[in-house]
Amino acid sequence: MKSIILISVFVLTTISTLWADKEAPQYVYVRSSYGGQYYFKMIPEADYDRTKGRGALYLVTKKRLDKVLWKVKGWYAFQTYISYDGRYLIRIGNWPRGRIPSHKHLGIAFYDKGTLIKKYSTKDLVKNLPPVRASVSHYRFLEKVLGFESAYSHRFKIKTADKMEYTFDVTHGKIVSQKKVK
Amino acid sequence: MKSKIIIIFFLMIAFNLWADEEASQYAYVKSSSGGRYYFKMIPEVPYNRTKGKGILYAVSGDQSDKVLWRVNGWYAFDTYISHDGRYLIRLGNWPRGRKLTHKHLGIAFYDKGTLIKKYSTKDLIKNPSAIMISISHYQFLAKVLGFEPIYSYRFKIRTVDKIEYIFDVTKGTIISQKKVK
Repeated sequence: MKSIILISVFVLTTISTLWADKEAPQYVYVRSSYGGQYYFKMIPEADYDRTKGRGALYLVTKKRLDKVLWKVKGWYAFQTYISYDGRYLIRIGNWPRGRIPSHKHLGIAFYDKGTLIKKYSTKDLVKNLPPVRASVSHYRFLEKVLGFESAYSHRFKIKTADKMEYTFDVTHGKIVSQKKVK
Repeated sequence: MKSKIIIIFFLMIAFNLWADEEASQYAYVKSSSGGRYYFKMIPEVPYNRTKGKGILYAVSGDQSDKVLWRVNGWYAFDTYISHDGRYLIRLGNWPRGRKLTHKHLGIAFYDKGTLIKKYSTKDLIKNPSAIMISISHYQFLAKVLGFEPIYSYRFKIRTVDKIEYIFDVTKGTIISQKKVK
């Protein structure tokens, strides 16, 4: 009896591990602003730890080294966006672990010169639970990042997995509009 | 005679006032999809749209990113980099004049900084009457649609005469061209 239980536990654990969704490792990247006069560099700080990282916003110069305007630290995001004027940063929450939206899971956050001004959890953003696509160990709360409304705008758009289209004003992080779309 | 000179003088001033103002060049960065590479375009001579240089960097954890390749002898306001940092797409600057010509660059493709293929505005536009003419320039592109899909080597543009081109950036050839609405 004992051996059957042990074997079953072992097999189930192995299968569950094999099926678990693999997270991408963090990496150093650069995201340029519209027009390209600024760029944000995101640097992971610890291997396989999605929460530790730092970033710096650079003003492009003609020289070899560009000028650092502001910095962030204490987090890493795979997806970030910079406003055309290099002032505002939009941080998209990393692929959340688990199967349901939670206030503990970051959805989107807004920064002004590196200082957090507003953030929303996945639970704040996703209104209708069933369409949230869950995989074995993670769920997806965003369908698409639509980005800045126009090139030189401070309005930023996302579409959630339950087909809500949010428009944010990145200067204070508030929701300007939210509507159900197809 | 004097009055004629004065009229000509005023006409010249008026023409200059009406002329479209070109943006001055500036140093900028364009990151690749995924952000592991970026291209830095640097103007070399103020108010000279043709002189500049560019450097492709691989991003590293510190400020001294690694130079992978360079270009020089030109400046473009609009450039794109493939996700792997190898290919560069250079779009022609706002062309001066009112007519399509083979002298005006439309789009060019580079492999690690070496030119592989280029097209003039005349090569791209099939219906010359569709170009949007202003006082001293014309517009030949309606929209740059970019890489489609993002991590591909297919690059899309739409011209003002509503032709959608898809290029293979690895050799700069046209994969497809079709009239769109």
